[in-house]
Amino acid sequence: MNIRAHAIAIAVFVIVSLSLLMLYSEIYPKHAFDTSSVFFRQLVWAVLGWIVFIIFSRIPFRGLLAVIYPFYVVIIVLLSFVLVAGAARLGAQRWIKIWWFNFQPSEFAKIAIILVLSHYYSRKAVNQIRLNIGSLSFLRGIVYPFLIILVPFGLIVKQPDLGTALLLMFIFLGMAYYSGVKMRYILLILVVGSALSPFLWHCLRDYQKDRILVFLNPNSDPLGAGYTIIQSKIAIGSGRIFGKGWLSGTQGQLNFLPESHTDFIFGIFSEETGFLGSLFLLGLYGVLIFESFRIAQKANDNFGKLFAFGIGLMLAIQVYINISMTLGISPVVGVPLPLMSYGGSNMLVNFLCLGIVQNINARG
Amino acid sequence: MRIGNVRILAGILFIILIGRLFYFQIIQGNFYYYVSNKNCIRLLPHEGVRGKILDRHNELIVDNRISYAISVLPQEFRQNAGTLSKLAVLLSTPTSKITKAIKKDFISSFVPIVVAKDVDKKTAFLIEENKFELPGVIVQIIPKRYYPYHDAASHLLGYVAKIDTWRITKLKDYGYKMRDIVGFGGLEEYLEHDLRAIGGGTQIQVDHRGRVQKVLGFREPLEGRDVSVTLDIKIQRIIEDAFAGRKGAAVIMEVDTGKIIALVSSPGFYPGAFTDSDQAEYVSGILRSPDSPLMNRALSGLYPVGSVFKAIVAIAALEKRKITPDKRYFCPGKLLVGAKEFKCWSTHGSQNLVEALTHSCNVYFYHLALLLGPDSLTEYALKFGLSKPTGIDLLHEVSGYIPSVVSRRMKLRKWYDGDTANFGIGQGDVLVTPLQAARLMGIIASGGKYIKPFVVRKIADQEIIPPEAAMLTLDPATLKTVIEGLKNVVNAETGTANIGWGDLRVAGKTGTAQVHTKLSHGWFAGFLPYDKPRFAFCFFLENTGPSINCVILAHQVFNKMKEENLL
Repeated sequence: MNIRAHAIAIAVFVIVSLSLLMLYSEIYPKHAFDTSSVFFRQLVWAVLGWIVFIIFSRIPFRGLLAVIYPFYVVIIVLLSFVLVAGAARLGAQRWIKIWWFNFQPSEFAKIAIILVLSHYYSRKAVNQIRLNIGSLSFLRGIVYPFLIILVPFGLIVKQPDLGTALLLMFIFLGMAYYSGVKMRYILLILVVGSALSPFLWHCLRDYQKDRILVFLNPNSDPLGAGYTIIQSKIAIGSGRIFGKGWLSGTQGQLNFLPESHTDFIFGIFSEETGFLGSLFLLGLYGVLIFESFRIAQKANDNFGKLFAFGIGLMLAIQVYINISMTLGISPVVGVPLPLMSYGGSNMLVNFLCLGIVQNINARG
Repeated sequence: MRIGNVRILAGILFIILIGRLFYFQIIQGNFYYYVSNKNCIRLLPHEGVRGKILDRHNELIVDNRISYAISVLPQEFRQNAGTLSKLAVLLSTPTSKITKAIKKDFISSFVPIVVAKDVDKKTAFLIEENKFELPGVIVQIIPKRYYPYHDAASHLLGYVAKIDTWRITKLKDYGYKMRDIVGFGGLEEYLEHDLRAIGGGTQIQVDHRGRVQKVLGFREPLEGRDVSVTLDIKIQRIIEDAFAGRKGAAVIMEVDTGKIIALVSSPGFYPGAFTDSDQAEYVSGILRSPDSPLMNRALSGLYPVGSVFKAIVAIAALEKRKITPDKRYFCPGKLLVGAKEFKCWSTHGSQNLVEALTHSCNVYFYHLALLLGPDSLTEYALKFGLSKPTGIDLLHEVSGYIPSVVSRRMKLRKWYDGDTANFGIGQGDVLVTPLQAARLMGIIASGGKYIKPFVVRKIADQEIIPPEAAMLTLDPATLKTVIEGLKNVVNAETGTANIGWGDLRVAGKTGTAQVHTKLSHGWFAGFLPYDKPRFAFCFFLENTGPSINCVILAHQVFNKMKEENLL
């Protein structure tokens, strides 16, 4: 058996298993072993995810080209729907309830945007082996694709889901960079973005400002976000080299650490498995990310190339933002840890993306 | 190659994470291990005070009072076995009640759990004095909603209660937590963002004996903003007393401004019950009552409007130049429309428009309706703001319903002349809210000002100035005639609402709406004083028989208002 051909599948399997172990650990002290618990729900998603992964790793990925735009339109409709349904009352809402599943369109928007951008940037040079490096003007390289993703991007900003919006922006710039858009154009965008940041600051909701202020000084809010950061640092630090052992973490289990099954799952993982466990998990993410990059590099098809690259990038950014947020080195923006955090939409999307990457790997 | 650069960047990010992990877990590992083992971090919440609500004369209608709650820190409390029995004695409750409360509300070992609410001052002080013998027990000062007028204006105010799951999913991002108290219904919900107090607290590090070693962080609680409303609590109470528990609603608003002076829905409820565990039975009674006391009938209740609608028909007929005010029809007590006989409630003989309004003659208005046709009736109903929300600054307002030929066709059903006749006397599908009926009278009284009713006049120090109301284009002569009719309803000897009004100078229109199998609904809507209108009003009684009950109710209210110099 060629390990390389199955590296992604193996890493995915191990990460999801670790996630289930952690969620089990989360429900263990509460004795909430019924089927509505996060553990069982995640188990269902993991199984469904595998099915999705297998399907998408078999069907020819170029077949996706036909459905990219319809899919994109559906996502926009769903994002608008969430906004309208949520706007009717105070507060925001990010999901649509379908039976017992809280469907989160913004998660699916990530893959929709990567698909659309992959298609856009690969379109010009479909019959060439190499990408059209350097031939994309500012208009074609930055402005047009930005206009294409502007609608879903705007809807997500409006939700307001700052984490996902930032993630999409990074993915866009990364893919533009990989497609050969001139470096100075990208730098220009970054400069304009930072110049606009005081203005953007003004547009943020109070709670979002709070989160950023708390990041700069965690003690300013010992009850809210700052509290979470302090507790997550204690959880991680107290794991030391070998960890406290499975089901033996105290920070997570005694409920010191809020959101310990979603955004802060790395906190309890690190507490129970220690530095070595954390290195192992980072290694698994390394496999997913660098394998995606390798597949991108060796793929002959430009669409596949860009897509694999986009997925690698998305995973890298999510893993970095999530873990650095639990370590208190980036603001708490609500980005889940791929395949680890509890959440059906996120789980499915990651399985789906990696299934396609696996497919690109197999077909070149 | 560009992908190479991306790889290097990704590698650097991984190294940053590993470096940071190394710092926390290896270099600082023992310190954090110690901190986590001792559970030596503790949260002491300080509650903020929710905004108050004041009426138009700055009379407090929703206030806050201090209450004492006894909380325990689970970790420490459990370690000291004797504490439980000591505390139980001081609170004079069985120990099982305390352990049950701890089990139910447990969030984490160091977040205090309330085991006794509304403890009297003496007990609270006693516990505070003995705190060294009661490790893990805290006396908390918690502000609590206080209603000086008990159940007055309950629908308009709404109530506060522990957040529910539906709300927590929506409000989580705004920092709401599972046990927070939030507004439900009325102003409490509509202005939740303004009224809300944000709790603060102190996070402290303690040693193994629970003594403070270090304050890790402090956040000051934020008080909610006070809200001032246009309501006159005295008038509100006069009306509520007059209702004496009967089902119905009443609205009084200022004609010039749209300020709501009173907004009554009966039966009401006591808002304070929702945060009082001793009144759980009362609350479940309210939730289950077939009279739905939680519904604000004044703006969420939809009722057939009956003869009040005749005022609009009269205006439509004059504006469309279908008749002159002198036009006479003969009322023999009934009218044949198509093959069906439509009845009047009496035999009025020959009537002109003002007389027909005064006597609420159905036959006259059957004639007008047939002259106008259904489209014009629909047009004028919509013009006077029916079939859409008035836009009042409260939640759950419904729009009402006005029939039209078009919507009937959409249901693939035919419109008959009989429907037009029924439409003309406000029967059938004409559904309005009491608030819409009051606003309709306000429009007539103000000479066509399309007023938008409102309740909130000030939030903190910010005055709320409603936009200038648009004017409907109506012929002053039309309004003069109709107002003459409305005046006679109350003051002419044969008027349907004449029960001896003295010098109250009220003008209005009665309405009795037939309800299938039940007693009919009674309406009385109008304005006063008729020569210089100040208030528009609507009184409505649900299933209590003919409109005369409503007229008596209004009479009672206005007389009382006059006595107390409120008119």
